[in-house]
Amino acid sequence: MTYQLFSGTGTTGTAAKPTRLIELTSGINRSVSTGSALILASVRATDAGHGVTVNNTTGEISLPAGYDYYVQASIEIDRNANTESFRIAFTDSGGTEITAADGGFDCVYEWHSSRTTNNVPNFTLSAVYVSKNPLSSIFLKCMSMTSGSVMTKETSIIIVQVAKS
Amino acid sequence: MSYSPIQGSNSPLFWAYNSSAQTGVQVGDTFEVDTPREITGHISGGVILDATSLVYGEMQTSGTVGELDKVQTNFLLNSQAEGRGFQVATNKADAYDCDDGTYAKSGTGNQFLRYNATQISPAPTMGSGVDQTRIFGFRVQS
Repeated sequence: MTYQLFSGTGTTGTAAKPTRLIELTSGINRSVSTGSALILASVRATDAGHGVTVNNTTGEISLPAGYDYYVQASIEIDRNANTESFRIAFTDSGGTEITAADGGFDCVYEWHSSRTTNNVPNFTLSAVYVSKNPLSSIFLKCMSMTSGSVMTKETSIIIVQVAKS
Repeated sequence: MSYSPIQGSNSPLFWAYNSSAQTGVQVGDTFEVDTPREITGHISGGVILDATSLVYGEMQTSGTVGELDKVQTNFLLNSQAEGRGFQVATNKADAYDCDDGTYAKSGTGNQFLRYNATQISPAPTMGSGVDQTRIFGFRVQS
C-alpha cells in the first residue's frame, strides 16, 4: 500500500488520488433535539472527485471507499436554557455511536449548578471520527439535547480524505 | 519550508487515546494515552513519533469537587515544550468536555511526545478527573 501526495499542478490538481480537504457546512441555523442528525449539506473541497456526499434530509455523510479519513466536527450549539447540557457523537447508519475503539470521539457540554454563567458567548466543541477502515456511511447526531436548542450556522465539519492504493 | 502529507506505507493519520479515566493530575504530570492507533511507538505517557508530525491534543474531563479547574497544557517533545492549550473543567459529576487542546509540530521522527499539564488552578492538583485524553496526528514531510 502506498499513500499518495497531492501531486497535481496549480490549485486544482491533476493527481488521480490526491489528499483532499472537504468542508461541510449548513449555512443556516437548525433546531436540534435528542436523536437529531446535524445536517451539513453544503460541500466545498480542495479538489473535485472526492465523492463525499451529504443527504440534505437525513444528514447522512457518505464516505467513498479507498481512503483513510479524519473527520472533525466543530460544533456550536445555542442551548434552549442556560442550565441545559448536551452530547454529540458520530454514529453508524443504524444510529449506534461509534466508540473510541472504532475511531469515534464524542463531545460533551454539561452545565454545572454552582456557577451560573449567563450571557456568555457560545463556544465550539469538537467531535472526531478517524479511521483507516472507515464506515461508508456516518451521521453526526445529538445523543442528548433538549428540544429548543439550535445548531448554529457556524458549525462545520472538515474531512481529510487520504488516498491509498 | 512547506509541509505536505507524507507519502509511504504508513497512513499520514495516527491517533491515540486513554482507555480509562485519570485522576489526581498535578502540574507537570502527563495526560496518559495508552491506546495508540496507526503508530507503533508507545511508552507510558506518550508516543514515539516515527516521522515529522503535526499533533493536536484534547481531553474530556469530569469531576465531583466543588471547584472549577483551569488547566494549561502543552506538548513535550523530548522534554522540549511545544504548543500551548487551555482547558476548563467543571465541578460536577459526569461533567464537561475538552476541546480546547493544543498543537505540536515535531521536527523529526523518533521524538517522545507527551501531553502535559503545565499549570492548574486554583489548586495544583486537578480536582476533576480526566475521562479521556486524545491526540490526533498527521505525518508530514517537509
